[in-house]
Formats: sequence, C-alpha cells, structure tokens
Amino acid sequence: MINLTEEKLKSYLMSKAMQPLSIDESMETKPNLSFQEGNGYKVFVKVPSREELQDRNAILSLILNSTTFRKTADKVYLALPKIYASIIDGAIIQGQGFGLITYDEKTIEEVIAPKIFEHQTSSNPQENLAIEQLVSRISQLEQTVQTLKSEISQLKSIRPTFNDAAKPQKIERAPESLPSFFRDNAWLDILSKRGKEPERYVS
Amino acid sequence: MSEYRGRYTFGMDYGTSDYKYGPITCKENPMIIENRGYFPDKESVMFRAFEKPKDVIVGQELPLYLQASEDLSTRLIYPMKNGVIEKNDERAWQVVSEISRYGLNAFKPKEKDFEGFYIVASVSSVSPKYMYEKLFEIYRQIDEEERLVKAVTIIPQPFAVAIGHGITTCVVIESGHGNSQLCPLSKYPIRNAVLAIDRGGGDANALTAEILKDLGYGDLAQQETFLRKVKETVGLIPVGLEEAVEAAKKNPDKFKAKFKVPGTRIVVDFEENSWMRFLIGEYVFDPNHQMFQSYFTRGMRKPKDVKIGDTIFRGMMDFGEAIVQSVERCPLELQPHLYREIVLSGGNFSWNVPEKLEGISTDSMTKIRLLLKEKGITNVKVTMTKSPQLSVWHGCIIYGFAVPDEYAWNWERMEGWLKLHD
Repeated sequence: MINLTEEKLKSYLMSKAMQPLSIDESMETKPNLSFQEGNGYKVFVKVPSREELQDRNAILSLILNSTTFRKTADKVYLALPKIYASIIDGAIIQGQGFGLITYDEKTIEEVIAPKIFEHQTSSNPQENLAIEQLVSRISQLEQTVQTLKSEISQLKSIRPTFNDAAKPQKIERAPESLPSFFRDNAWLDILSKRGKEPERYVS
Repeated sequence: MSEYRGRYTFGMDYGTSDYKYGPITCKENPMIIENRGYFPDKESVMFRAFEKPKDVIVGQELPLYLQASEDLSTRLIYPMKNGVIEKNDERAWQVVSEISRYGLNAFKPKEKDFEGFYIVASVSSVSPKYMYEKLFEIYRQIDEEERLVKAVTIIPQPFAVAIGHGITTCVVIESGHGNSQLCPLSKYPIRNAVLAIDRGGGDANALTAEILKDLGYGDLAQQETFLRKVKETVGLIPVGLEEAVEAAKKNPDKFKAKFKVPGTRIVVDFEENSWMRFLIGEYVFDPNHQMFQSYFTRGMRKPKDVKIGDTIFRGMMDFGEAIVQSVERCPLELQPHLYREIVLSGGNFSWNVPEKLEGISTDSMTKIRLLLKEKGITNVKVTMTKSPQLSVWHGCIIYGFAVPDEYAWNWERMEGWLKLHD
C-alpha cells in the first residue's frame, strides 16, 4: 500500500520536473523519496506509513525526526493522508520550514510549500581556503570587466558613424524575460537566419 | 512576431519513456508525464458504473484507472518505446494524439490575442517520414477542433539536444531506455550520417537480471524498476574490462557491492562475485567481449541488427565504432571538428564512479574517449549535456522562438514551419 502511495507521489513530483535520486543507504534516518529540481535543489520526501501515524504525538515525533534531513536536503516535504493532515496544526510544519503534501485515493496536493534550507559552510580549512581563493579571483575578474566596460564606452564615443544601409542585419536577441538557457546560445543567431542564407551539409 | 512567440512557443519532447511539454513561459522546467496511454476495459462493471467511458487515458490520473495487472501488457501502451511507431499501429497513434491534446489543453491560454501555439515537436532521429506526416495530421486535427495550433514543426531529438546545449558543430549521442541514436550536426543535422543502435538502458537491465539469477536472486530479477535500481547502485564502467575484473577478483573486499531493497529486509550481496558489477557498465558501451558469450548461450537476448520501419538498428556495434562510422559519413574537412565536440545525452550515460575505485572504474565521457583512442582517434572532447532530461525541450523552445515565421516547412530539408491557419 505504502509503495503504491510512493509511486503516485513520485509521478506527481516528476510532473513538476523533479528528477528522482537514489537514496543514500548510509543515512541513519532515510527519506522515502529523493529528487533533484532543475535548479539543482535536493528534495527529500518523508511518507510515513499508517503504523507510524497512530496519534498526534506520532506526527510530532515524525516532524522532529525529519529535522535531520535539513543537513543534506535543500527542501523537505512531509506527505500525509488528507484525513491526518486535517488533525494537525500546519503552523508546526511551516515553522520547521517543511512543505506538506496531502493525498487520498484520487488526489495529491501541495498544501504548504517548503522553505529552502541554507546549509552551513564547510568547516574543512582546505575547502574554506579554496573558497577564499575563488572569491578573490572573482573580484579580480569583476575589476577587469569594469575596466573593459569603461574602455568600450570610450571607444563607442569616438567610433565613426555609418549610414543605415551599411548597418548589419538586426539579429534576434533573447529579451531579459526569456529562460536562462537562451543566454549566450549561439544557435539563436544561426536559427534566426534560416531561409536567409545558403544551406550547407543538408542531405 | 517575436513578442508573440516569446509567449506562445510550445515544446513537446516525445521520449521513449517520458513526454515533456509546455510553453516558453514554463521558463526552465516543462511538465513531465509518462509517454504512455491506457485503454481501459469499457465492459468492466466498475468502469461503467462510475465513469464516462473514454477510449484512452493519459497523464497523471492514469495510475488510478489501472485494472488487473495481467491486462497491462495489452492495455498499457508506450507508443515511442523504440523511437519508431509502425504506420498501422492505431493504438500507439491514438496515444500520441491524446497525449499531445492533453499537453496543449493543460496550457490553453485565455488571452484574447491567442491565435494558437507555435509547436516544436521532437522525435527520435530515426523516425521515418510517415511519422512526421502522421504527427502533422494529428496537430491539424487538434487545430480544427480546438484552434490550438497556429504553426508546427518537427525536429530530431539530437538536433534539439545540440541547440539546448548551445553547440553548433558536434556529434550528439542520445542513449535512452530502448535504444541509442548518433547524429552529427553542423548548423543542420547531417541526416545521412545518423546511426541507430538497438541497445539502451533496458539491455543493461537484462544483463543485471542474468547476473542476479546467477547469484541466487532469480525471484527478484523479474521487475524492471528493481533491476534499474540495482544497475544504478552497483553497476560500474571499467577503464579496461579484463584489468578491472582481475583486480576485483584479487581483492573482492575493495570492490564489494551490496544493494538493500528499500522498505524490505532483502539485501543483494555480490560477495566474491563483485567483479560482475563491471560487466553491467561495459555491456552498454561494448557488448563484444568473450565474457558476455556465456549469457547469450544461456538465452539472454543478443542484440542483433534489426529493421524497424525503414531504419536498421545496429546490435553489437560498440559506441566508439559507431561514432567513427557516423563521422566518416560526413565531409572530410568537418570530421576533426566533430570529434572535438561529442555530446552525451540521456539517462543511460549516468554512472557512479566510487572515489576509491578511480583508475579502475570510470565515467561515460572517459569511456567514450578510451574507445575512440583504441581506434586511433585522439583529439577528442566529450561532454555531458547540462540537463540530460530537459535539454531536448530546451532546444525545442529555442528553435521555436528563433526560426523566422516565413521559413516554411520543406520535405527535402525536413525543417521549417507548417502553418495550420492564418
């Protein structure tokens, strides 16, 4: 029974573009399902069985046990049968930053959206050193970009002007509101010229 | 027009197991459902009592309609399971029609300026011409009934992967559950160099089943989901098969492989046979080693060259040889550029490399480089797509947004927009 519920929850979360992950067998307290979202967030789902849900205290103990997931997951959901969800105070779940999914035989619904857990930075001195080095390299790069920007704007101010006929054809660029995978994608230029230039390597 | 397509470009990726769909406004993540349909027994008393009869059920609600498990093989249809649908397979086409309609209706806009979506559909690169014709027919019918499709085009999945990945000259290898496809590109897909291999994740699962039978877990080796989990947890790609097997036989403790079946007390332990985990990974890339012969002799399906539709799928060809054969069908001056950008896509290329076994086990990218090195090809760069599951849909969205409105569909070049209404 519990497996059928997990399968339904899995289909539901996969329809939200989450990809299933295997569960680390070495974990002391394991979630029932684990996923990765498109943006890289790791999502755990705890699905208690009917035996684990005998009274209100059992649910509270479940919530307390699930707090350990915050160390490894970015988001945590508890999945409860609709009938049980109605007897607990959602504020407790919300307060812990967990999300709540309720289900019955026909429907699955996200009732409370989970918070994103921020993980502590590493205590490993070597990793911290590497991070510091990266930060310093990024700030150097930022300085270089600033210098280049000011040089470009100087060059723009002294460039010669051309008449309209000599201007290159306008290329469709991705507006800001488009998805991130449009950014710097070389195909945008190529595809926008389809039908306007000779075709090669077509068989 | 760009502004219109900035809202109403719609991508559809008909994968072998999943269907990913949604308009450009989904941003990074489309909706995903399984690419399948269920034909319920309409004579069932329960069905007649509670439901309005429907021919085929697709989408998230499908599991709620499943009836007796013995009916599943005939009633639950995965239309794209090997990338090609037979012309007269009416049930499979019915599922494709229903699933396409389902996807479009999920995002039917209410805005007054909506005149229909610009759909970019993506199918296997080995899909024959009649599949394109059938799909166009389906979209035309949907548009006639619901006015949801303004224009449509169809592109091969490896082409969409290359677009989503942002590389304009490359070889894309897409390896899914049922089969694998190789397609070189240079701004256009090079269609006469497309090569199909009748080997995918499902074959590695089949080998895993044989190994489990040998280890005494024959009773568990029946379920596909279980086999996939064992393969993903235990399977490894060897740098060299013989060396890896020898090392694992000498030191079984270092290579030990265990898999606990979730929610049960069952633990699959390879014990002194942990060397077998290397067979699973090697088989995906190269099934020709003598070690696989005993499995074929005992009845495991040996991949053969098969003709599906108009395409010959190669059975035993290793991935290195397949890349060389495909690239050598391209113009000579292009070939070095193609070897320098090989893009891997699909779940069949995701493998674990345990830290302590580095040097003996490896990842898919390195394995492909090694297979090509054996054939004397050294100046090679192999990468994985940034989001293996979604890159086809990303490519569809970019294609639909960028290709000019006046670029009309042409059956010679198999590209362009087919306008369904003004």
